Amino acid sequence: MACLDLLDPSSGGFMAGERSDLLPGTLDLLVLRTLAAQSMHGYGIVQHIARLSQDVLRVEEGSLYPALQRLLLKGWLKAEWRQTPTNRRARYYELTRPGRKQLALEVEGFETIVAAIHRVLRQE
Amino acid sequence: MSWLGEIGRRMRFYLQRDRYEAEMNEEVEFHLSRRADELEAGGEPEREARLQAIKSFGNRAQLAETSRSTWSFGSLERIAAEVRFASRGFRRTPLFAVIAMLTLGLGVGANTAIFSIVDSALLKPLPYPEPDRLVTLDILPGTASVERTSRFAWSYPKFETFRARATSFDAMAGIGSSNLNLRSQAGVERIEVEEVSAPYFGMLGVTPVAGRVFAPDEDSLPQARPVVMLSERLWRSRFGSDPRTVGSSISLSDVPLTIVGVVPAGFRGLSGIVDAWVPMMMTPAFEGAAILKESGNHWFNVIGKLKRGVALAQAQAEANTVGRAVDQQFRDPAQPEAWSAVAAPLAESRTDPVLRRASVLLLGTVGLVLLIACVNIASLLLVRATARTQELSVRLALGASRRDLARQLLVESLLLSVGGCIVGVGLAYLTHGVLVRLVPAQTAGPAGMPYLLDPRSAAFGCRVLGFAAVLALVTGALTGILPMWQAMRGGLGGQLRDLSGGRSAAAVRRRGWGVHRMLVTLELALAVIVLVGAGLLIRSLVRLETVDRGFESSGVATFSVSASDQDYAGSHPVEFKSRVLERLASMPGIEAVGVNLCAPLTAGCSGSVVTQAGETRFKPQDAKDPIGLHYVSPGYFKVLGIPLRAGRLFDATDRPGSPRVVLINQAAALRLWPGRAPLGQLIAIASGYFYGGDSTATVVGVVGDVRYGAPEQPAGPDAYLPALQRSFSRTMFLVKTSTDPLGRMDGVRAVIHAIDPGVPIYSVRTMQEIAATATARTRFATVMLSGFGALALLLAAIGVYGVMAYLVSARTREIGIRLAIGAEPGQVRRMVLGEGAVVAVVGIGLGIGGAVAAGRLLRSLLFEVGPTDLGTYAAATVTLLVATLLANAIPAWRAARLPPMDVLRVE
Repeated sequence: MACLDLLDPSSGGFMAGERSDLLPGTLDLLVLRTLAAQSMHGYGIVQHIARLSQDVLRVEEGSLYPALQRLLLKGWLKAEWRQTPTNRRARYYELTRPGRKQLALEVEGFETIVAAIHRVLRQE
Repeated sequence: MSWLGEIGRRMRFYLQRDRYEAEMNEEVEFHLSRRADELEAGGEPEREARLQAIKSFGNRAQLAETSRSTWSFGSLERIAAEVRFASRGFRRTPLFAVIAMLTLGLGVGANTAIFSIVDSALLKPLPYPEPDRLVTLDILPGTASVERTSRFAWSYPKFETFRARATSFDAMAGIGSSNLNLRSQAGVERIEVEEVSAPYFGMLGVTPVAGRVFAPDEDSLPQARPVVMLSERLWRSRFGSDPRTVGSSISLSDVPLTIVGVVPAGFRGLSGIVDAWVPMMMTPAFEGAAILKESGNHWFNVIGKLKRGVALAQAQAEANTVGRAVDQQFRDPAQPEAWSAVAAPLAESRTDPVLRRASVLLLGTVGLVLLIACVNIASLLLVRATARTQELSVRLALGASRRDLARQLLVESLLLSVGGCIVGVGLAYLTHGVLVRLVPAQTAGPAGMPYLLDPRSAAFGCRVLGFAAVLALVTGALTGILPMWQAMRGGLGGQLRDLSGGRSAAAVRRRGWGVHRMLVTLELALAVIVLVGAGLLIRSLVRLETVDRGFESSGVATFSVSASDQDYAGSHPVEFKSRVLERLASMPGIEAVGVNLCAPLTAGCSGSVVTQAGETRFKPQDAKDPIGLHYVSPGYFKVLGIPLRAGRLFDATDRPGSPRVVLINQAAALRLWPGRAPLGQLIAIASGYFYGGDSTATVVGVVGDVRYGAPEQPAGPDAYLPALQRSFSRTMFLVKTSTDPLGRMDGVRAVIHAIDPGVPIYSVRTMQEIAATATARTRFATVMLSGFGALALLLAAIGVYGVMAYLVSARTREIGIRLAIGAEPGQVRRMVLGEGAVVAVVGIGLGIGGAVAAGRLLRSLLFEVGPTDLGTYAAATVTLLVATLLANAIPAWRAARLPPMDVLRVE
């Protein structure tokens, strides 16, 4: 898989943790999944993904915000300015109904691919 | 529609982009401060934490750029930028932009204007439901030809039989037409009436605005149900749109009728001028009981609606066989050939075929004019692009790709063409009214069927605007393609080293000259084609106006009078006619007065089979080309100046009861008694047209031939019968005055109304108006084509001038050197003129070839002029040569007057 894909804003990119090769398009998936649990601001999303992946996946800010905009444009997210617990203004993102549907589709697609890769790896 | 929502969100972003960008900034700021807080919590000093946060965040400018491009319309916005750039360029050179838009505007305007006529003459669907299923049915005499000109209308017995036997049709309707007197307190009005079968309204999709249409039983027994339907116009003007009108009664030509319904505004029958409809079964009340019984009286048209799934060819085959069977049943024993019936799509009756051909021809012509305009603009743009070499080179050097340059040039030409299109639509809109008034009125088609669409009512609507929009794109592409191609293949730009301009002249000679010369050649060739076409039409119009028609039209007024319908069968009309003739003849200022049933040049005269008395079989040509019958008074020949060739004219002694006499024209003499003297011979007129029913008469004189049909048609055989030996309620009077023919009409009206105040006088026209109507189609095509020819000539001359002036200016240095080293100004002038002449000769040569090829399309509109008429070609050639020489002369003169030292100092 070419590294160039990671630079393409439409495929989403990650800071390399221990691995540099990640499937393109997974950024959208991770963002949607993260927001399915609760609404969050951008910084929160980065932190959340890093925490859950035990710092293996670190979302690059330069990719996160364009990705959020793209998802807004598709109508999968909606955004709202709210007060944080520390009383500061931040933009919170929330999953919409079409966004939920999209998440289900992407999870399914991702699992299909992972299963396929597994099958290839387990040959011999 | 998720993509719709997406466009909506994009729009929202686009409209509030400042707010979105501010929010983006705030969001990033928030992100950075949280990160810095976290780092600070981890022990970093405040300043370090902040810096590290910024560093790890990455390029903020790029982020803004990326998110902007996510939201934006991308290529759309880029195009908007290109348009802004191009219009800035045009604002810098407004003269160029204005000239280009005017040129294109003239071309597009001409096309748009003509299109509105072509649309209604050819393209627009007929305004009836399922027009594809509607056909006209005509009687076809003989078997040889299906020419539309030789078709017949139907007689009622033949129609009835045909309708009963034919199976391809859902419905059939007979449609007769006549004028009837509508009498009321306001006086007598002559209105157009259609006698129709009951299915007529359903077939044409007419639903009444009040009352109902005719029921089937109202069209089954003669004169059983005296009912009438009115046009919305008549309902409004006579009855104030009162709904209680339905059920009340009116009197048409003294026949009382019950109003059962009113048709919607906009429907005025097939002819577009009808005010009332009566069931076909009511016709005997107006025309006499025989009209529904005579199988030889062909007086109405028939339309049919094909059954669903029946192909036209199938219906045509059936019409032919059933038509033949009907003919067998009603065959006149003397008739030499079998007749049949023919079905044709109703769409063929939409407009006069001559007008259709003329409008297509005009569309082709304005197409050529537009092409000339495009060539003009293309060469102007090319000149402009060449002059902008420097700018384009700089842009290339700064990283624009050749594609970018090409796109920019295309956007520029599209912008010009859109501007030109707007100008053109404006011009077309302003001239629409005038143009439409130039379109000639249509007369009836074959077998008397009226034409259904009148291009004079062509609307300037969406279809026309759509056409103009398409033209804008086409012209944009046509004008832009050449400069674009030049830019792509590197003909423009990439010449930074030429910035001084020192080499550009050579570059122009090397690259541009070929293309420029080609464009001018093309332009001249197109102009030749248009000019030759215009010239041919002008010559044939002149021939048509000066051809001997056999009569004098100056000072003659015509009008129709309808005597009391009640006295139709009696002697009153004859009395009335002779008294009117007597009184008018003694009126001061009136030189002569006469009557006939029809005027020359109108193709409105009826004919009959006329033979030598005693012949029992008709020759085929007798039936195909019947002899025209004219019921005239003695003064008729004097009014029209028709010469007597032998024998005598009619006089006052040719009255009811005196010996039956007839005059024939020279063509009839030649047909009936070739090589023999016709005077004193007995003649037989097939349908017993004499008063009293006897059909033989003695030939007492021979008169000159008169063109009663179209002025293009040579005079046919005609027979003249004394008007006073036969009774007609309707008569056309012809009055010859020494002065203005219509100036005497008030006196004429007074005289007639003194005799009978109840008779309507209508269709008042001068003979000259009638003649003008008869040549209107040719005149229309000629006037239009001449106008476009002049436009083509002007555009071509401007094009030649533009290119030649440019080429001379590009060669200023070379010319300066020539002059400096001793060339005479005359030599320079000759050089420039010579180069122009070569282009002119080649272009005109090519154009002549094109004109010969295109001339064939013109043939059907020409009269006594061949499509390769030498004089016309010579005139067109000379005109264009002179125009190009003049266009060339200015640059040549300028070149020769260049002061050599100034030119060299420019370097």
